[in-house]
Amino acid sequence: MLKLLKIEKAFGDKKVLDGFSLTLKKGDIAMLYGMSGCGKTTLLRIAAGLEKEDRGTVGRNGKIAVVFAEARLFPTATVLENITLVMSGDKRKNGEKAREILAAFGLSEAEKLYPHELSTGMAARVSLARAVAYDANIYLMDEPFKSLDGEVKTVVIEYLKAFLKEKATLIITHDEVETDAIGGKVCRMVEGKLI
Amino acid sequence: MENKFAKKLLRGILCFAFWLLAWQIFSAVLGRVTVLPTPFAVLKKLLELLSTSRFYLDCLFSLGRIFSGLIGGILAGVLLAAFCAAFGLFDAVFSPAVSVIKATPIASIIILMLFVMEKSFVPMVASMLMVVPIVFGNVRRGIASVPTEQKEVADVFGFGFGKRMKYCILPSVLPYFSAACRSALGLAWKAGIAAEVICTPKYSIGLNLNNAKVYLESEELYAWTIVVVVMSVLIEKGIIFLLDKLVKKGGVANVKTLED
Repeated sequence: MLKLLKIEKAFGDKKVLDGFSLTLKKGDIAMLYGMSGCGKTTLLRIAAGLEKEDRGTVGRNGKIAVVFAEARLFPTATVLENITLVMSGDKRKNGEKAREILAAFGLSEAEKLYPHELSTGMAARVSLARAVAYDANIYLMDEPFKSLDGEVKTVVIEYLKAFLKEKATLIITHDEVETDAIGGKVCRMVEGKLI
Repeated sequence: MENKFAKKLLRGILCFAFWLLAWQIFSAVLGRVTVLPTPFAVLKKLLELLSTSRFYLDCLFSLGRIFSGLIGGILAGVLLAAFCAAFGLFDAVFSPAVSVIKATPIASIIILMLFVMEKSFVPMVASMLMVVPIVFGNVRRGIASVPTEQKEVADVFGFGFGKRMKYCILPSVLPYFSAACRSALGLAWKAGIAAEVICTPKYSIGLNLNNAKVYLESEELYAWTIVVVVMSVLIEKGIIFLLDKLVKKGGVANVKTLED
């Protein structure tokens, strides 16, 4: 579903990715570790098609959803609208599905709120809910759980574990507990390479 | 609340009374009614004007001309900005032309227009040409200010033109557009009246101002000037009210006060 082959990327003289390769098939979850600035986010952006690689090949097969490190919600749309606007098809059904996802993420009470009325943790959950509602084949997530804590984090991780079973997923993380909870394959990145 | 309003009203009345008194004193000291008539004489002339149907006809025609120019200028400015933002070649061709219009004195524009079109159209075109660069510049800045983060989300989730417009572009552009309209309104009005004074089309405020000047009817000149100022203030208030509604409807809570 997602194939990254010998990806190279430099910003000026600084080489960020140096022959990075990774293949994700349906059902794969890769948990990507690495020091800050080692090129994790650049890799995710290249995989999403938001950044162009200098060398190498990117192969994508299917719809891609991205959960950015920041929530990136649309400030003029309510929580519910932020979710339904990535969905296509029947509006009423979309609304119902969006409400189900919001309920699963503990956000039922927040559907009419605007992003500026949300806490960082709530906004992060809405961002995750949006990606889930998009129902893509490939999921790319940049530290999706960093603003979540306690029980909420557990609930969200449990939901995603079930949801991502049929998807190809790349998650950037710094937390080994998250990796254990999700149960993904651990990938370590050093100086732009997978080791 | 009421107390605050009463204080504001009282302050306004006192300020008005102060300037009226100053006018009366200057007029008395100067003693030349052709240069500075008394406020009373001007008020009398103004009431005289208000009692004629021709007055309303002149105001209506002037309003029509200037408003057509304003609307035309806004539409042209928005379309030009959108096309220039979307197509590099369009930008290369039209941006310099807009800069030239912006730098050209309004009097030159009016006189040039007199060569190429019927004089009653000149105020409308002059108003329009005053508005285009302001709207163009502000809308361009609004489009440029759309956050990259939002554009990326729209790209990732495959937004079509409508969603992109509603959630990414409009919220960023509307405050700039609103500020442009506020600035453009005053300029369009002044440029339109100036063009009318030079072109003297039938049924216009400008023709009355010009006649008053030619026949040294200073009371009438002052009365018409007051009409122009009052109309300008009323129209501005009305347009600002509508713009605020539009910006709120667009989902932007705070209108930025941007000046071109």
